[in-house]
Amino acid sequence: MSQFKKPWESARIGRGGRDATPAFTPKRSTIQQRRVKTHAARGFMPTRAEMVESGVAAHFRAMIVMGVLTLAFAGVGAKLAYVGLMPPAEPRASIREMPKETLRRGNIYDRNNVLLAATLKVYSLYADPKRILDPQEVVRRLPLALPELDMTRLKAQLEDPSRRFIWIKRRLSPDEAQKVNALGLPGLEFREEFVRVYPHKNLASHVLGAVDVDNNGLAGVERGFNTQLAAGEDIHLGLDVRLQEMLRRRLIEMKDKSESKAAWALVMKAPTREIVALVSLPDYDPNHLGKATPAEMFNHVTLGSYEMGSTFKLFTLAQGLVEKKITPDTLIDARTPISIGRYTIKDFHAKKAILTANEVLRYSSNIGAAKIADMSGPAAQKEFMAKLGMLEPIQTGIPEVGNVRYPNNWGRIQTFTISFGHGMSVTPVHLVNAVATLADGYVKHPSVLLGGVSTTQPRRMIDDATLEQIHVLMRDVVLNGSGRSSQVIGYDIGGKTGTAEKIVGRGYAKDKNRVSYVGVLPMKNPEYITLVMLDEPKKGYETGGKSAAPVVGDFYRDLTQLAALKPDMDEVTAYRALLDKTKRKYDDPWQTYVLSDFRTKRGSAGGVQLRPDAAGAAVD
Amino acid sequence: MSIYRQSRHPLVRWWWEMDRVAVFIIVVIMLCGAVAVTTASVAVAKSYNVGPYHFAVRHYLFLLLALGVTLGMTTLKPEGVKRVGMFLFAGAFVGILLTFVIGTEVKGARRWIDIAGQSIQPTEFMKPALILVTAALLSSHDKRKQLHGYFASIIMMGAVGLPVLMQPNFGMALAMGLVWFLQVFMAGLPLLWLAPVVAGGLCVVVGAYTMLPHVRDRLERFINPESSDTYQVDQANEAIMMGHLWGRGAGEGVVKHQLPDAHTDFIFAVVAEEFGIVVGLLLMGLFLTLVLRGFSRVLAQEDRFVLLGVGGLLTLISIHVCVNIGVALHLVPTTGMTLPFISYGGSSTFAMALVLGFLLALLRKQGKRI
Repeated sequence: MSQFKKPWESARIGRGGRDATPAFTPKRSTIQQRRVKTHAARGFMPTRAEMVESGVAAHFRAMIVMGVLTLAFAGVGAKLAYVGLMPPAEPRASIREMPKETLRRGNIYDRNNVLLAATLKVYSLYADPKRILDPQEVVRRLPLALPELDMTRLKAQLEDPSRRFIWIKRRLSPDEAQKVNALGLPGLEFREEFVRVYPHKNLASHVLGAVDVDNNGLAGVERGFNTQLAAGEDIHLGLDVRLQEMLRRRLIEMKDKSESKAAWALVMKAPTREIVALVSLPDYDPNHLGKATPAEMFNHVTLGSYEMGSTFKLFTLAQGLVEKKITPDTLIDARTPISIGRYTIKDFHAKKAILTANEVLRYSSNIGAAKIADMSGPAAQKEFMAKLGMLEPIQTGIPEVGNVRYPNNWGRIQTFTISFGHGMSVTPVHLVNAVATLADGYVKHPSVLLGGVSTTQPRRMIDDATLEQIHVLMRDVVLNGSGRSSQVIGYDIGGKTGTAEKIVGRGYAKDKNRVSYVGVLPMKNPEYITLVMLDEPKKGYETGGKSAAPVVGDFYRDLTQLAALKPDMDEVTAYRALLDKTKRKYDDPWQTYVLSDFRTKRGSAGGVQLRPDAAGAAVD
Repeated sequence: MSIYRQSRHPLVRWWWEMDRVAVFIIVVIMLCGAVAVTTASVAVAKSYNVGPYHFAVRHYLFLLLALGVTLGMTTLKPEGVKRVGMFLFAGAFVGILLTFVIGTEVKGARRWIDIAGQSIQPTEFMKPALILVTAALLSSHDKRKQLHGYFASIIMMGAVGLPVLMQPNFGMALAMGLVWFLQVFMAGLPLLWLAPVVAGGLCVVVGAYTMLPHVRDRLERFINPESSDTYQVDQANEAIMMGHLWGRGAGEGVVKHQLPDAHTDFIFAVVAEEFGIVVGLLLMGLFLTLVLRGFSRVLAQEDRFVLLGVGGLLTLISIHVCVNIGVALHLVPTTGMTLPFISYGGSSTFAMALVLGFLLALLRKQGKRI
């Protein structure tokens, strides 16, 4: 009997001899022990072998069940992992394909690292109609956050079962996005987007251009360098926002005063041919391109192609000097108009005199220019223009590039008219770049980028001796000619005015001018070339000398102060001598100075022949 | 009272005898359940026209009470568990019969009875009760008594299974039958006998398929999803796909707005959508750890009642977990099996509290060196 004791019994027995004594066990016996006894008494007690067998079997089978359950977990877990990691199914793909998560577009900086264009993250709202539980609720509650939406149209879109993606509103302000979020409408989702911002607004719109809603460049540098910007690269421009602001302010002043239809200006840094300022009025705010009119979006500087008028005489004179056909003192007979074919070339204010080459420029004599050009002939003129880059479009990085127009049949008549800037159209960029060549003797490629273009080798075109002569001629226009109002005391600014009659219909309109002035600062060691043009100035500002030149003068005055450009000591000494001699105070000293006797003396000192009777009569 | 293991204080002994890791896992699962119901029930609460956190707050309360019930049950000795199981069986059986008399009909099935304003699903409580009764009946070491036990438990199973089938609650009956079968299997039923038992089970399935239209409908949908409307499962499946590895983020889920059972039968889809499948797998891992720990502890036991009881209870938990998640993954035909402590619901939470309470009670290392 005792051989069938249960484990706990045997344990107790094994613990000590005292407990093993049967005399003590009845007291301590448990219910189980009693049962054991009764079972045993009835003969139902299982054998130890049976117990072990059943126990082992049960344990073994429990392990099988455990394995089965583990497998079930593993199976479900595997399916879960499979479903969760499945390649995105159709709906997810369709959403993902919509607007791509784009790289943040690169910034645009000016030459002093001032931010001109940057990219901000905003939220755009779209709807997935399949996920919208109740389109009615959306239509009813969405206006609480976005009252300006067209809900009837949206309702129709939301109820179209074939659609899975509807833009509701692009570029929400953080406030609007928060309001929409607070509505808690399922099926409305936000997509992060990047919005282009131009902190300077209109200031450099024609340089920077603008982008569309998907941040693709549409105009200006944004378009010209779209690939780099889209790849996240920053662009550093040669532009200087300070000069840009000064130039634009001066130009707006003059445009308003003169009631011009349009006005534009370009400043190029001579050593590098970088575009440091470019204004084309009217302009637009690139932050709101949609509101811009075609007139505002037209870039007169790079896209506009114009007959430049008398500023072209600079090239005529330069060609004569370079080809040694003339010297500044060569006498040209400008007494009678030239008649050739059905054309007659006249001067606006004919001097009816024999002029020196210098005076041809100073008084802007068409007859004189035509005669100088005639010395070289059409082929040489065309070649000279080609060397200056006037016969090819110029790529500066701004994609709005205007064509040049010149006669196919470049004959003698064409040579005459082109000598004073008619019969050939170029963009302001061409003009400024060519004047830069006259100023420093090199042909270089202009660029909107910082540092200019270094790929093309600069080519020397004009030798130093000739440059000196050209400098004197251009300086003379400011001292004695039509460019006087561009003078800044202490700086040897040179330049040339231009007043071209606009083509109206088949001929030239007498009362509609496009005026211009190109000025170089300083002539001796050129740093800046500035061109200002105005379209149809009125109110006594009808000539380049009266409207465009003052803008250049004002701009250069600002610039010399800002840049602390070192004054030319010869100029300053001369001016001081004048003040000492006259013992007068000058409120607007330079104007008085130019009109005073000193001009003659100064002119004589410069070795330039002057004719007293010509003073003040200069009109281009 | 000293908390050292040497202490003889009954509370201290109780604590050290218990599977404390299992208690910790249960608490973690309950916390997961609190989070899951909070996020999943907001949309459902809206459609029931109650406050957004109505269900969430109730579920917190259920979970707290459930934890109390579980810990309370662990104080029982195996003999006590057996006795409680008997009473529970009797009560649940009466409850099931009552569903035919005073039951409330929900979605075409009479599974609920209202007691003191609280609806109770007696079948939920029948599951642990049946497991314990079956374990008790099969626990004898005596072959002849075992034989009687088999017959008795078959009758018991039939007596319980038939009314459950008639409610109708086919899924529940099937789950009970499966647990019972595995218990009988563990008890050492000769393999020759397994064939007629399996055949009998298949007869029940085929019978239900022909007799109960909704069973046929669901099975057909499962077997041939193209031809029929599998809206809920499709939504759940897509939600899990959208959740991907790390989920949309807490509260960001969409599927909960579209599933009426988002807070109960399809709560796993909500969890997977918002927290990702990594969290889903971790949750499954918690349950699996619980099951494997239970088996590893029970395999060291000699008592057949404990072995069969624990084996049955662990099987029940596994079935609940795998079936609930399997439905969302379109691995198992749609059936209302809750995810323990995660799914919202008083009856199922308390029933599961009892299941785990019994489990921990049976797994206590009683009288042994601890």
